[in-house]
Amino acid sequence: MKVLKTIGNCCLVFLCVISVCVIIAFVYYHYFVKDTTIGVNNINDQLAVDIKKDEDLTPEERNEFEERWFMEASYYSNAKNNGVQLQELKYNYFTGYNLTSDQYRSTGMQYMGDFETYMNEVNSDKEAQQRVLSEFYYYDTTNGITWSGFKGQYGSVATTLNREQQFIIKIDNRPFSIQLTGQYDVYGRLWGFLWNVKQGTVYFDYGDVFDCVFSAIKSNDHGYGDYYITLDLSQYFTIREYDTATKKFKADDVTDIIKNYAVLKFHYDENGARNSTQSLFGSIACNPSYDTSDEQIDTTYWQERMTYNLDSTSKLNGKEVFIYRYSEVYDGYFLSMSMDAKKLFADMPRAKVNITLDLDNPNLEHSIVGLDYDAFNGLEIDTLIIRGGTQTFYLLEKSLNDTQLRTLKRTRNITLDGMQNAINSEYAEVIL
Amino acid sequence: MKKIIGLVILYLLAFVLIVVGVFCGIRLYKEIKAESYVNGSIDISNRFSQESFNYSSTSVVFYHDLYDDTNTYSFEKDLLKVDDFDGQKKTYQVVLNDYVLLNTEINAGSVFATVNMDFYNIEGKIVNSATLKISVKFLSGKTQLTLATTGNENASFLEQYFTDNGIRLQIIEIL
Repeated sequence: MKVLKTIGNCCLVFLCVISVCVIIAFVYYHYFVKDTTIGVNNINDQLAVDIKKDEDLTPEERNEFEERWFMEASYYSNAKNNGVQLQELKYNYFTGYNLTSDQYRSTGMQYMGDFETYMNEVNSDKEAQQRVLSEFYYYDTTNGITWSGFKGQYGSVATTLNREQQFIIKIDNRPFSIQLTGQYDVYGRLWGFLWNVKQGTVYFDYGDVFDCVFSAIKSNDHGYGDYYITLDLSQYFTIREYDTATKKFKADDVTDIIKNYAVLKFHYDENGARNSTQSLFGSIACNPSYDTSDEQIDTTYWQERMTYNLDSTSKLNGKEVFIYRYSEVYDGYFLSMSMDAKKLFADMPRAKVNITLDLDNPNLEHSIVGLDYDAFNGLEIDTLIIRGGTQTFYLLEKSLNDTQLRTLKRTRNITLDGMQNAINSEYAEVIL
Repeated sequence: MKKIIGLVILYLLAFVLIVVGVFCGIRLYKEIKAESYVNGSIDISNRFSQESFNYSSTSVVFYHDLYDDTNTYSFEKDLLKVDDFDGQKKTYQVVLNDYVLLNTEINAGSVFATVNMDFYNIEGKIVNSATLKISVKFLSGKTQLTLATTGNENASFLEQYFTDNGIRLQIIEIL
């Protein structure tokens, strides 16, 4: 028993000596070895890992998936005094660590005016952690729909932008979390004239980040436009890497200096916001139909048609739309549409074509006597207008076939010849 | 009794020392093993010029100047400068939302076009006919795009059209 006790005591002494050595080594290394480690986190695009590469996307898909950044801002400064001043900041992130597109989510804040931050008085750390600024409108975007479900920091169905919030983001195609944790201590002289003592702690909130972001936008040397800048978020946000083995987001408490850089895409406009379609969230003041116009107009429509008014001067890619064939029999030119123009209109089914032929136009190089065979065959025409002096206008076979001509307008002294074989649909004739 | 208390305190101190030693050891190991690192990379580049004119957006909002008595509603935007536009030597095609525009006026450093658009209601009757004037000026440092129409009603229908369809305006060189 006595031997065991002696061995135990020896081991204890040995462990104590080892501990002292380790403590001395640690103190020496920690305070006297000046090696510095720097960690850099670069937050690039936040496109999901299952999204195809840009070159594989169709044009429609590219519009939808081309860009997604962690921070996106829009500022309508209203310098022209033609709308309302509007500031918006949106955070794009993921709801899971798989980083797939079904985990997309965005949360943003909107301020009508030019926001200036201020110091928030808090009674406890917990209050600082939970505080959500009431000056802003908040929006969430899920599954392509943006909505505002924020009704105060308690009981909200929207994501609350406070210091407890951790977003999952993508860095290097790996999941990381990002959280607003920045704070600093305020010092002052004890009783106003003695030594400096800590007087309190200031906790950054999302209003501070918002203010800083818009200061950066306002101070950019290129002025109004759409640009990208890289913000240094090190003072505000802490980034934690996801450990796939332990399935935990681990804080980096070893690296001496950690820098967090994130891309900000912004739109800076000298106009004021006039309509909710200009908002990043499709809403202004939580109103998706927001419009500063005094007079609201019902713009409901079924279909739009692009109207083409063609005449002898119309050109396509520098070439005339109409071509002319001389006929010795009729001693004049027959007009028809060029194949390029026919092909063009065939590719634009919503195009509505009106054709005006002014036979007496002095600038006309050719004396037109009629429409050639198949002149407009297959081209959908809404209105054909023929103006001129007293003459017969010849319509050769199928010149207006399959045109679905609605209205034919002609001056009284023009006589149409061959109409029955020229067209295979009903139309209205108007004498001008 | 004093000896026992002294021993207990001694053992407690030894225990605390060992625990502190373990923590310092772990911390020392972490600090020695720590390495600088860079996670990810940032690959953005602001473009200050473009090779050919291309403008796209999800909406267009027209503004009316209160002091303007021509009832003009316009949308103006400064865009990236276009490097090599030359309306005198080259031929161009103007395309708005897949519609090739005819009767465009192409000058040395500017393009003007007029678009007529009819809007039909569900009975197939025209409820609005709007004319949109497009102006693109290629300046040395930027490109100025202006879309203009007259009247609040025309502006509202065109805004609705661009909200529904977006706007894609291209000026393409014909080779």
